[in-house]
Amino acid sequence: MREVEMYLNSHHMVKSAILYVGPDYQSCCLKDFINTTNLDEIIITGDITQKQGLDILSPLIEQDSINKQRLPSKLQFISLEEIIPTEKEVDALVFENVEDISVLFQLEKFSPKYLVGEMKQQGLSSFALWEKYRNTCEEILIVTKRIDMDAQVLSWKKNTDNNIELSVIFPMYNVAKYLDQCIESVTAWKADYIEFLFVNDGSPDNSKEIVLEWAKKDRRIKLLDKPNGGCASARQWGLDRAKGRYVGFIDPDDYIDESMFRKLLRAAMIGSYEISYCGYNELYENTGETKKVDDLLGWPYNLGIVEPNKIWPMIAFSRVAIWRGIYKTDFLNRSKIHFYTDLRRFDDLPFKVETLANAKSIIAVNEHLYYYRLARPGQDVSADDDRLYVHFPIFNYLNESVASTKDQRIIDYLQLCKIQTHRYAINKIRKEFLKEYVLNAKKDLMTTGNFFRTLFMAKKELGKKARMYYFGMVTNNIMLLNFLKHND
Amino acid sequence: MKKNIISYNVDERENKMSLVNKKPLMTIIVPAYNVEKYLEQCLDSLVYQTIMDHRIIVVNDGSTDNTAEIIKKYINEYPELISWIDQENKGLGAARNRGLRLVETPFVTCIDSDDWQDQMFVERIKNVVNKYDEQPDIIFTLPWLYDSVTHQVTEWYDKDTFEKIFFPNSEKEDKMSIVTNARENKFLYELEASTNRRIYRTEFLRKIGFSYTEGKKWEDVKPHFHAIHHADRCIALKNTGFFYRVNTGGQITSGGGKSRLDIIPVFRDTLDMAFTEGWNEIEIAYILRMLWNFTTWSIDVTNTEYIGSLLKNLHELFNSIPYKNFKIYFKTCSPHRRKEMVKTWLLKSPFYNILKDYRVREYGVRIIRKLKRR
Repeated sequence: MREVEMYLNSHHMVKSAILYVGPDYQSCCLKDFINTTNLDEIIITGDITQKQGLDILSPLIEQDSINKQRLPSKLQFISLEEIIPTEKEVDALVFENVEDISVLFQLEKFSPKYLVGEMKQQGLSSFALWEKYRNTCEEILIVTKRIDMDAQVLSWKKNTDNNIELSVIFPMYNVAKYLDQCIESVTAWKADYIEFLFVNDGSPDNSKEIVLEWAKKDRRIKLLDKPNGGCASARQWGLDRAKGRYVGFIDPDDYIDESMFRKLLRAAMIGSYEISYCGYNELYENTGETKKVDDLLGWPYNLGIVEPNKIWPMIAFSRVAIWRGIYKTDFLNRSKIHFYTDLRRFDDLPFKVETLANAKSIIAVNEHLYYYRLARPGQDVSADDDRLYVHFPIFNYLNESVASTKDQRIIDYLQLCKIQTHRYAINKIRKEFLKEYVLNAKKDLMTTGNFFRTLFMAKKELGKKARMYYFGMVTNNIMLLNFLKHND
Repeated sequence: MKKNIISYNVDERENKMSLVNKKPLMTIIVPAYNVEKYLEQCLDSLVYQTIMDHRIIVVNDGSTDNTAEIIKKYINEYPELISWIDQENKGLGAARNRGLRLVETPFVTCIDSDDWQDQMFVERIKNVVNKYDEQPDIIFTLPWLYDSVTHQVTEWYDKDTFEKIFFPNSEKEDKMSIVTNARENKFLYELEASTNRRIYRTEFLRKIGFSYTEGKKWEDVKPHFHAIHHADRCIALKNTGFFYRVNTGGQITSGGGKSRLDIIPVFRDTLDMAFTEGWNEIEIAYILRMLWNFTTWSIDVTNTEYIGSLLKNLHELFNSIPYKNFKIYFKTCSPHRRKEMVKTWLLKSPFYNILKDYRVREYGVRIIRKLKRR
């Protein structure tokens, strides 16, 4: 039994259906279909001639005496030219073995409540079909078959109270200068099932007025006002109020490629993935140059991963960039992932680790669609003093939430993530803060792993240099670390 | 009729509820513990069967959530179909046993309340039962796996073994399965231990004194061997079965907790039963086979907190089984002979603790593979 039959088998309210079949549909397929589903009325149509239709139907009707009770009470073949002008009411539109799904767009007038079917991977995606039918249908299930790979399943159910599929959250603090460019780039995609939540984190500048101005032109833009509390609290504020099935986060001083959200949502929905993400560009404000950032985007990530143990290595090897992905709201709620609102910065590091440790499916869009502004004065990333100590409360939280799962593999990748993060901080931090940082880093690294094992792992997964850094940190060897720092 | 239309009609089907049989064929037991999220789908699939020739017993195993209200709603709607027992929380095995005692129909099966059943299940079972002269003791079905994250439907784990046993050299789909038992075909023991995929004859269960292990997880293992050992006629049905939901847990740890340790008493019980009843060596080899499956799987998923005590208990269990039996197992039915021989030796030795680290296990496999190539 495949997904389509399983769906019809477990939805007893579907009683009648138009079955749209492709040219290579055989009588035995129909027999299997009838055997596993329990419909009262089936109207067969499709890209086939009357003779083919007869070939499909007649073997079943002849066997009638043997297997009478399994045949639906009404079984019809109607050719495509005949069926398009007729008025009919059916519960479901089912399609199988279809090669050219564009014809399916014409059948929308039957306004079926359920759209169920199976198609081959091709130019027109199941996402396009979903966009066409999402207003009339209650539920949609489309299986995309792939060569040599697992099928992807789009499974969708209409929301009862709203039609928002994607909420984008913008934590906003003193970004008036960049806001216009950002809003312009995100609103270029005109879909009505997306909402933009601008969370004003008590900005003293006029960001609020700019957003309100835009909101007059575009009804999808909403402004949420809150007292100042830091980026994490603004993101959490937005997340608590987001209605969408998926949720994304954009920093309003950056901007995106116009197609970014459509591509992310399409990739995520086609296979019901919990996370989808794309690549990003670094944009140097002083020179105006952009640079594509290398990351885990190509094979096998762009084909979708559904095994958690292949997602876990990303904890150590993928970059911290919350804004380049969208996340299923259900998944965040179920895994109890939230922002730690007392963290003043780097709150996307715990978010990254927690989502990747809990995710069961993930897909990458192999394009660089986000523009990340760098070298802006006052930006957090450029911190080089005791602000970097924020890593320790972060890893304390992660020791509680992620390492407490007690799964050895996750703990190992968390350990590697720690080594990478501390290495980055040591390279960046000013001399006078280094000593205390290393002391704390040592304490932190020893809580989740023993010395020899981590030493071995660091070399195997991250290379010799990372091993030296680890060794320097645990032995509290400032000289060695300074030496490494100059040569890194 | 228009030229391009081929049409076919039969008389309207009779109203389904009028068909509720006074002497039903089978009972379906549904133990329910805190499953408000899934229970409706499960009960829906049971009350919307294409033929109403069954009864449903829901055992509310001391749920603390909305489960009881959902059950009541269904009972009000289908009073002649569903009955209900309430008990304090005692676990899956106890709930099933409680249901089993109340069965009055010739056949009985169980389903877990987070899974759901094929709409044509009862109809198919009824058809197949009528085709055989003597009533079968156990009917095996072939369930499907439903991944609740990716929404994919896949085949049941042991489909190949299943077809090898019941449908040897059959190309035609509808062919009836052969009638067999464990004395003729030892492969029956190889089937997945899951109890929900079997339909038992009630008389047969009462005769052999069948019951599920109570108070422990893996309550299916001992009954699996017990029932198959005594059954005279086992048949199978290919095209039906329940849908088993995988990937539901919010936490990855859901499978790696303390309950893993229960495999040790469960297998000790099973082996005790086999040794005291004097089963033959091949049958014991098949118990060891399942023990090995569980061992490999448990060591892989048990989390850092419990893996130490799991290995210690396994070490004791393995040392208490005579090596003769392992030898027979390796000779007859071991799927990965070399790997399991090395691991058995390790588990029996005092160095069993090095299996704790998944990296050691992975390298071990690689080294064995290399040795094999040479």
